[in-house]
Amino acid sequence: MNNSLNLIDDYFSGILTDDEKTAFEKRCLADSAFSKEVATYISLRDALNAHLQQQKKQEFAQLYQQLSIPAKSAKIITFKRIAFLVAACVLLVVGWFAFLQPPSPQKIADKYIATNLNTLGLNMGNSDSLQAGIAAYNSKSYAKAEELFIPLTIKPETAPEAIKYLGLTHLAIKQYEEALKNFDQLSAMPLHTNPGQFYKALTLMARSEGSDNKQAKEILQNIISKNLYGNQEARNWIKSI
Amino acid sequence: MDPVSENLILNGLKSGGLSRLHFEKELYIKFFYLIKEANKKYGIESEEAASIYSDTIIAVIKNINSGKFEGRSSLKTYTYQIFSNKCVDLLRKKTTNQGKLEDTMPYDSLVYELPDNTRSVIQALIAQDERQQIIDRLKEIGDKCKELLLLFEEGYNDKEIAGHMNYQSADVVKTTRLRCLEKLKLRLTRLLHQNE
Repeated sequence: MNNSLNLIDDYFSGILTDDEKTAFEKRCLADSAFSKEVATYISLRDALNAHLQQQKKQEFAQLYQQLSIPAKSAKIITFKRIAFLVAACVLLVVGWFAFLQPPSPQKIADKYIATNLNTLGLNMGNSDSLQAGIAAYNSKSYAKAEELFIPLTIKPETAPEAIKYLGLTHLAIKQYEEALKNFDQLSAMPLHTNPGQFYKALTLMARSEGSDNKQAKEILQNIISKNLYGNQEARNWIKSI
Repeated sequence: MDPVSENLILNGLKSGGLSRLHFEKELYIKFFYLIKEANKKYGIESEEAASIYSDTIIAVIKNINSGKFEGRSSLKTYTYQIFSNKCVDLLRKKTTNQGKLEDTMPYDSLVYELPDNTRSVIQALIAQDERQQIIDRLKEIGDKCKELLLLFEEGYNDKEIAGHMNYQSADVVKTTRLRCLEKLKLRLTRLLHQNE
């Protein structure tokens, strides 16, 4: 662990003594390498704060939509307004069919997979074998990735991650049945943040056969109501299913 | 939805834990009518007023969590004051055509915790255009790391996070958190090297 980082974190957490604080501030002025580290630390923390605020703003924007609806409906409707509303509805319907028809669940899933699951992050905390599996996945050697992930699914220390990645590998090669089994297995695990249900819904949407979308919708509703992993996406997708 | 009392909201926000999210929403609902007032009083469009209102609530939450809100005025007065200031800022920005707020440090940047002379040195080293790049790199450090860093940013301390995310102790959380920060820094450094 970088000692400077520890010290910088202590300073901004407010746990240094007055003397230590003064020494810290003097060092910022005298030691250019240290001052750069402080600047980077602030950049990272500010960016995290900005991201958090963006998330909150999105949540509040949804709340705004919900709270605004009753106020709008309570307005007195005049003939002029009715005429305007009818015209707007006609335009909306035309626009809907022409441009705004919501994408199918399958398209939504494909887009999400292409955007978010084409490349998996190589995490420092993961074991070497997991890293090798992820590297194989990222290079689209899915058979190799599958081969590397399977033995890790029975080791307690790697099981949750390995099962998740194995499911994503099956999803990537459209082996939906296998992927669904993996995500069911993942969902049953007592994890703090469990993406199993979300990936299951994604797999069902990607397959979009028979009652898949109905089942995906139920899962997404559950994700939203319990504020589980993927609830932001679930809120957006559920309108299109 | 019946709005709950100010005290209940304040205690809920201060109590920590996951219920805090619920009280953040309650706070938003409590003074929601301010959006309409901004429309009437300042002639600000509803959507714009809603955005200012969101920023206001975020600032109020942050000030309550950090202890900056000391309860000298009611929550209503405090929220109204911040909201009015933001409305006036927006109008001033529009009339003086100063639309480049994005280039300045955010008002709640950590840099403001430094004394003036140190701040100017550090501020000169901070690249403002990196913020979005850092946010984009967040998805590369793993869900757990991201959650941990965001919980800390939200105002939870290491001990609370340990309880929330099943870590053995606050020390373990701190070590992990700083490793996650280093990971994020590494991703950013790599990107900047690629762009050079």
